[in-house]
Amino acid sequence: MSKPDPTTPVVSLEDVTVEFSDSGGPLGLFGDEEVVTAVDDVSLDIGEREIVTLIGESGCGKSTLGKTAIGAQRPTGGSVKYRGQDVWEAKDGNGDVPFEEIRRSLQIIHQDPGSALNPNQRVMTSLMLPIKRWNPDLSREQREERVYTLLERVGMSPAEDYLNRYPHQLSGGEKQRVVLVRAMLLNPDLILADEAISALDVSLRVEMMDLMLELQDVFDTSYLFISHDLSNARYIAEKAGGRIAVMYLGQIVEIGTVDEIIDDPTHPYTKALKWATPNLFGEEPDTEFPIRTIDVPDPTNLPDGCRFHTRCPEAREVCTREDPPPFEIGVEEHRARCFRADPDHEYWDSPEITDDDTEAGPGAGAVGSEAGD
Amino acid sequence: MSGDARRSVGAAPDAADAPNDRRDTVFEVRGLDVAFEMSRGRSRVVRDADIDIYREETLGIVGESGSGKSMLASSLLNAVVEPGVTTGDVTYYPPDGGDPVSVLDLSESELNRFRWEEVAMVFQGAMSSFNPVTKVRTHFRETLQDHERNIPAGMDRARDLLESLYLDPDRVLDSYPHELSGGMKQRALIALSLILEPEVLVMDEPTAALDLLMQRSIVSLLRELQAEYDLTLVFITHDLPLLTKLADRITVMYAFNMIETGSTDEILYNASHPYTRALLAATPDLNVAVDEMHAIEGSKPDPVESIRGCSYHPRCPLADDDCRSEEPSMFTVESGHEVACYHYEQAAEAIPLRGDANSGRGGGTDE
Repeated sequence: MSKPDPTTPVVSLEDVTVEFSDSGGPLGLFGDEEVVTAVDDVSLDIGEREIVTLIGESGCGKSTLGKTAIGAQRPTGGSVKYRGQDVWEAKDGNGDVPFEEIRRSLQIIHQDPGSALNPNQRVMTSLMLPIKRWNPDLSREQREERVYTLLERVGMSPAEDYLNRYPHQLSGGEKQRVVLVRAMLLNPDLILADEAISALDVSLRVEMMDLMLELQDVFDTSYLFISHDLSNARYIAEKAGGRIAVMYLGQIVEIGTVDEIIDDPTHPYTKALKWATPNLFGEEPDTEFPIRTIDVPDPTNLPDGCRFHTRCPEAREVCTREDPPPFEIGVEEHRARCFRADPDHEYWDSPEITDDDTEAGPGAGAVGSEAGD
Repeated sequence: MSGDARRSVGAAPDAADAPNDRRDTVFEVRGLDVAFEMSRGRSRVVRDADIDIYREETLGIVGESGSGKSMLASSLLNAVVEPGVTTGDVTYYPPDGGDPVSVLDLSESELNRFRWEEVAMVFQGAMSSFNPVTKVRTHFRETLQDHERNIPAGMDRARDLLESLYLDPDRVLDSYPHELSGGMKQRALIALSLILEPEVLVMDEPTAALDLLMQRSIVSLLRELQAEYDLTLVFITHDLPLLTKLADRITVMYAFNMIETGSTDEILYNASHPYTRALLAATPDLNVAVDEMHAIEGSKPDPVESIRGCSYHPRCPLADDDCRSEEPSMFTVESGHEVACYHYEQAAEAIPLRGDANSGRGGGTDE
């Protein structure tokens, strides 16, 4: 398998912030609107042939970050670059690379393949149209050949059987494969797979991830793979030698290789996600809930200091007032936004907090000792 | 609660592994069939199911989408949607030796009472189970009213239930459904389903739309509720890893048939149906090396075209002429562990699993 090359980023996010106001539009001029910061000052490079998996709970901003990375969402702060070209400058007509090319190079497959396919179009039409649009010089025969080869490659064989079907005549897994094939036909540099396997049965997920990896090998594609499931993220990242990024309330709170994140997580939130991931085999962590409250804080009213402090079992006084920056851990690219990553931080002398000290939102009942003993 | 410890690897055999013959049965299902007439022909979506559900146990029913697991669950309440036809026997045994109830023979009004007061059900789409224009409090009140219960006492119970699910009772009761997050709504729905003190709670993918932390929290909360209110739980899901954290026993469904039933430990460490083993091998697991995980070969069968013989034979590495000609009946692997496979004794060798190495406790994998 071709090796990922993180040193030549396909997409670079630099200090990206995305804010939404409750009027749904761009940030208003009036100060009384409720503002949700979906992505807060995130920097991330996605390298050539690299797989970066992004995990976190719903509402943590992972989909918004993903859409921003492929130029489908304009950031309110920071920059998004495709091979060095600022995506939004290109969009505004001030770039060296045409925006159309950027759009073709950055593709998306999402959770519901049914909605991504036109119900009134046969599979053949759905697959041929994009090639026709992006490769107008190909003959009909050449286009057909590409479609046939790729469908057979993803196990939809014989291809002509499937090409004449309508989406409703396909299973969920087959639809998702058609959507993946359609994205690949454009020969993109990066595919955002936003919960692309979450709607599939557990038993079909490995198959779909294997297909994505196989196609990556052929097309040299990078993936930004979004999932709320750590075991899926770990599977695809480990097979591809990729990285895992953990998001919480708009920030990447920890990022590193699979070994670093799965075997040696630093951030208490990563540890909580690992705890919550049910495994079939092996020892179970027979500990208490590693969070103090079940419910995520209101995103329109983020906690001060470290965003995780209201749920964090390790939170101390300093965490309630200071937001930890990304600390480097070891020599690799491993980073965590937690004071505990810094052995000399004042955190260690800071008093522990009790549940009464935190401003847990109403309804966010404490998950105390009675819950997990 | 010491449940996790009880099920941890290498734990001593305990009540859940003990022979089941002395256990108190809540549901007895015999020869259950659910069929739909379709334009392409008749589709039997549950085929000749037999199972006993024991009082205060958690029974997990696992299968892929379209395996018939939801239909099996609905038939426990005679709630299969039209035009589905349910046949066979579903017998419910009330607590304290009351008269057995033949669920499929209940009248509409008897069913309405039965469905809330004896057996309650929670579906995946909590969002659609609540009326969006009615406050949560009204849902509780109306349910109590319709069943002629004392309202103040019932609302006290509602508060207790909400609190034990880590919700702020007053805030939740005063909210409209859309004002609650998905996880809060799902927990409120669980509380509502328990308001009339049912004996059995049937849950169909209750956590599928929720995040990991919420899923795991709800599973823990369910175990506490079960202990506190002496509940029998039937939990239906395609998520086998999650199920193993909750269920005492697991039934595996494939292509509308129940193909293997046993204690959770037996299913994990002595799985005897080739499909169960393939399913275990296909499930992403942080504790298993990535190259030990494999997708299941082939695809699932068409619901209308019925397969002669064992429904798994087109995908099964052990299939022979017997499997292709006649459907296997249940074989007993050991007490309380049954499997519908002629070759169950060869399954472990043909499809090795990570769990095999750990099956030290009276397992049947010794070659």
